[in-house]
Amino acid sequence: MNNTNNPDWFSEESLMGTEMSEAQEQEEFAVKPETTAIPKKSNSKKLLLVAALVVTVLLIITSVLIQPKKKTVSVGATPTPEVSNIPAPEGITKTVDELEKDVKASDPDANNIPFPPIDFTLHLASPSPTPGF
Amino acid sequence: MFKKLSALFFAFVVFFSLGARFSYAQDTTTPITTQEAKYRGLLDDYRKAQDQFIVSAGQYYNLQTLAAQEDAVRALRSVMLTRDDVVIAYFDLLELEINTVPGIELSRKGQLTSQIDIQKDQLKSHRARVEITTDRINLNLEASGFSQLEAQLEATSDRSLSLLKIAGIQAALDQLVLTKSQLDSFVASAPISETVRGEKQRGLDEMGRSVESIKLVISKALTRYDESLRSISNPGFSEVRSILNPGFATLTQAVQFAREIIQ
Repeated sequence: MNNTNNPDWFSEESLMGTEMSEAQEQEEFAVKPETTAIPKKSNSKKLLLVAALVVTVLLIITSVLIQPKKKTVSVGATPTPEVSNIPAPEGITKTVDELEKDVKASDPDANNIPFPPIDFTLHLASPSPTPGF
Repeated sequence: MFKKLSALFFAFVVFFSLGARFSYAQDTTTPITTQEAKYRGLLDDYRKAQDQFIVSAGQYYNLQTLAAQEDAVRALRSVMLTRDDVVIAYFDLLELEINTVPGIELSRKGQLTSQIDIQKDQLKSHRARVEITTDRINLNLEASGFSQLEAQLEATSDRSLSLLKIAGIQAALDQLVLTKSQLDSFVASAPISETVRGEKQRGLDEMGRSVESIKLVISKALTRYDESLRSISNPGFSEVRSILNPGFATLTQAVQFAREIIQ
């Protein structure tokens, strides 16, 4: 309200002032495209770096989860001698699995190391119509 | 900068995955697998050397020149050296198996390994002679000497395989005895009805009979093995295998019984 009643508001100086500020604004508009282009480029690089880091972290987590768990000997799983000498069913199953493995390995017909297939008759005969090798 | 980081990232991923695989592969290496790989590699070398000799000898027979003869002699020496290496590596592998596998009596083990050592010494001497031989006539003499070793080498191999097969059945029998002992305790004290306990007990009785029959099979196989030591011409591996086959069938059935008992 006060501004509208102020006679200086429409004076030549004030009008000049607005004209000056408009010129400055124009200058600012002319410079702005150059100054705003640089942050945009650095932002995209930063985004890509962050994405790469996130993917790396995800890959590490996934690979750690995928890795087979090391077999641990469960001390608490077997019953204590004070309670009973009977092996737990899991222990018996393991023993039977071992037995099956041993039996499979003992097959008399399976021979994984037969005598080497070599030629015992190799020699270099005198030249003749029927070569001696 | 971005390109460097990308390269670093991919290098890291590749290294990580390869490193994990390599660590798993390392766990499976044993002296036997290493020796087996060495033996297989030498066998491949022998096959290549043999092919090369066949080509060189063919050229010599066709051309009948001194140069062709030199080539053929070199190829023959090469294949003869590789052949000795193959058989030595094979006996190293057998010796390693015999010394590693459980279930072989020490006296039999010692007797067989000393026989293998004698064969290996013969092969090493033969190899040393071949290495310094350069003419066709002497090389042919060495080739003839090697062919005379064939029967002895195969007999030693057959005896080793026989003993390894007997040891395999013995190891399985030992495991069966251990399994039966655990099953006896389990059935005796398991919270089950008397009918079910009776069924399981009958299964255990069958397993007990299996143990006795396998012991007989092993005893027969060992008798045949001991006989084979006195005869080079009949090492008896096929006979030992035939004797062991019913024992193997009984063991397979015993595994089935054990599985039914723990159900």
